[in-house]
Amino acid sequence: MIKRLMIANRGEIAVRIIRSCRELGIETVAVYSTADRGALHVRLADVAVCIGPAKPALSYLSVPALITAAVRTGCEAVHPGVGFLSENANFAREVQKAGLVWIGPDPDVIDLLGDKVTARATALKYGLPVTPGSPGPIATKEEAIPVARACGYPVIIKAASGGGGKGMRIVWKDEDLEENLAIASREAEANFSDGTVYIEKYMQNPRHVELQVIADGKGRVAILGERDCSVQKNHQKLIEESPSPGVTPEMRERMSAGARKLFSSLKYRGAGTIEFLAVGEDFYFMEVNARIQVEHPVSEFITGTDLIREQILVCVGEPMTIDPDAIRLSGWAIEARINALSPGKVTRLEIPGGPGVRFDTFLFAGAIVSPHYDSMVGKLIAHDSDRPKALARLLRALDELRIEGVPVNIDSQRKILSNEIFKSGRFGTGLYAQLEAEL
Amino acid sequence: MDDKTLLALFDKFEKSSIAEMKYSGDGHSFELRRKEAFGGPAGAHGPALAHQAAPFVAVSPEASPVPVSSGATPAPHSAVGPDSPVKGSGNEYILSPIVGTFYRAPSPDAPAYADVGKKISKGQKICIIEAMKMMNALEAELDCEIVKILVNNGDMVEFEQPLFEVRPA
Repeated sequence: MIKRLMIANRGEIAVRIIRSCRELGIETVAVYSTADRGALHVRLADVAVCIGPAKPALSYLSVPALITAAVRTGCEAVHPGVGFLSENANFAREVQKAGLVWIGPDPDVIDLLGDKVTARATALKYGLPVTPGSPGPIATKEEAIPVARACGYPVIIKAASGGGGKGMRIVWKDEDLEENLAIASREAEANFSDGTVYIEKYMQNPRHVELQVIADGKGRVAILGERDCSVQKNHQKLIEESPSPGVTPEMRERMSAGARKLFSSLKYRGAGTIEFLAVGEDFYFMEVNARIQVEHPVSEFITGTDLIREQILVCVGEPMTIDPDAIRLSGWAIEARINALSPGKVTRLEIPGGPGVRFDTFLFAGAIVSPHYDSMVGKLIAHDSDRPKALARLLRALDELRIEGVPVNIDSQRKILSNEIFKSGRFGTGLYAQLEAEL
Repeated sequence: MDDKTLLALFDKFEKSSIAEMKYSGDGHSFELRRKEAFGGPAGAHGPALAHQAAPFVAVSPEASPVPVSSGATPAPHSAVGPDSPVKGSGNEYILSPIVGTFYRAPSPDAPAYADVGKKISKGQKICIIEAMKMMNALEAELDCEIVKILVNNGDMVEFEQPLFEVRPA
């Protein structure tokens, strides 16, 4: 077992990692920017190193500063947390070159999964469906019609070099293809200097479903159930739950079978998530996140596992303490992310408690919420035997949570969780936009 | 700001209900914090609490906020050591611009760039900070005389850790 580990991160996730390390008997080294002096992760760690100014590019994203801090404090491993450099293969390589253990999959695996085309091809190879679409660029109506009919309407025309909604057109019938191809291509050309477009099946209000994976790098893969992260604002997850109200046991089995093969064949090591879009009983592979995720506590609740502990164990070459063949999902867990609406200083904090309630945060009375970093300040998670009970528990806990000095999104989270559509469990990624006016 | 004004200010601060204040101007900057400003769960770890002895005062010539470092085990770094910058001498402090290893000389057998008592001109090399095998020479930003070297050769230094106490020429 390793003796000392550095956390190349800050905030709530750094605090979370320190907790598991302490239980494992591993000393922790925190890093911090000048904006985070006095931050909770700095105070909880055994050792703390100031690595740079507030600007992330010069501190939490500075590979030389991080490697130097890890090496000079005698660390044996580096945990990247989430965000920042957590999926940066170059950083992972530098960590390994410095003779340290990278708490994550091999850098080559990160690279492979980071490339969308390769990742899709790999998923297909192991029997996971991907979004149906044109194999290559589409230029004319004659090329487009057979593809659109094969996918089934509606379809979406997308810019090959695109992103952020530019060069995207949704088409519902043959007659509209020609005009929209031209518009999408012109828009793509104007925005990305590349008019190349392609066609994909358009998912209407799909669910965002993902599987939690822990793998030992030798082919053993544990699937710890799915999470539903359909409540999103501009692709930012707000509420997550496990299991998903839209996943049947049969779907879960099909997803898991493909994921197991994929992670096993990649000799994947550590914690990972495989994301799908689900429509009805169909699901389509989106991507793999080669790291732990913010919403991991819901999976911890329903599987009774410490995912950070298992992640560290498999990455340092110790056996995982969970049996992949004996994973039992128990009850229902829901998480509400608590986001700051503006920076500031917390003047008062009252943390909810009671059975089945967990609050992961870096806040304390006096803590500074800096404008330089992510707005998420905490995650409130509730667990009970079924969805209605877990929901009631989460709402009860939200009522107990008091944060003063920094405005947070507690009210809008309460409104979403109390909404009839949310309560019904029948919703997709369009739910937030649908409710936005009332929030 | 002269010492009298400063002491009067400290006195006012202590009697006020202000938890934290920052000041910068006429070449000085400092922060005053009461223990309430640190807040947080009590009794996390012994050494961390050492920083909460209120009111906490740190003064340095450039805006260098209160360095906070916790350590259940002895930290290999010490942003505020026994040689912590202290106000009053008119001296300034040269801070480390990066995390790295502090070297006083370009090689083990070469003479040190800057010894105590040496007069340094602006732009003159005073030490090397090594990070990931890159040797970064640090140059003086002002004409000055080295009063004290605050770090041992080969030690790890943090970002903004004071390296030299200098007397401006």
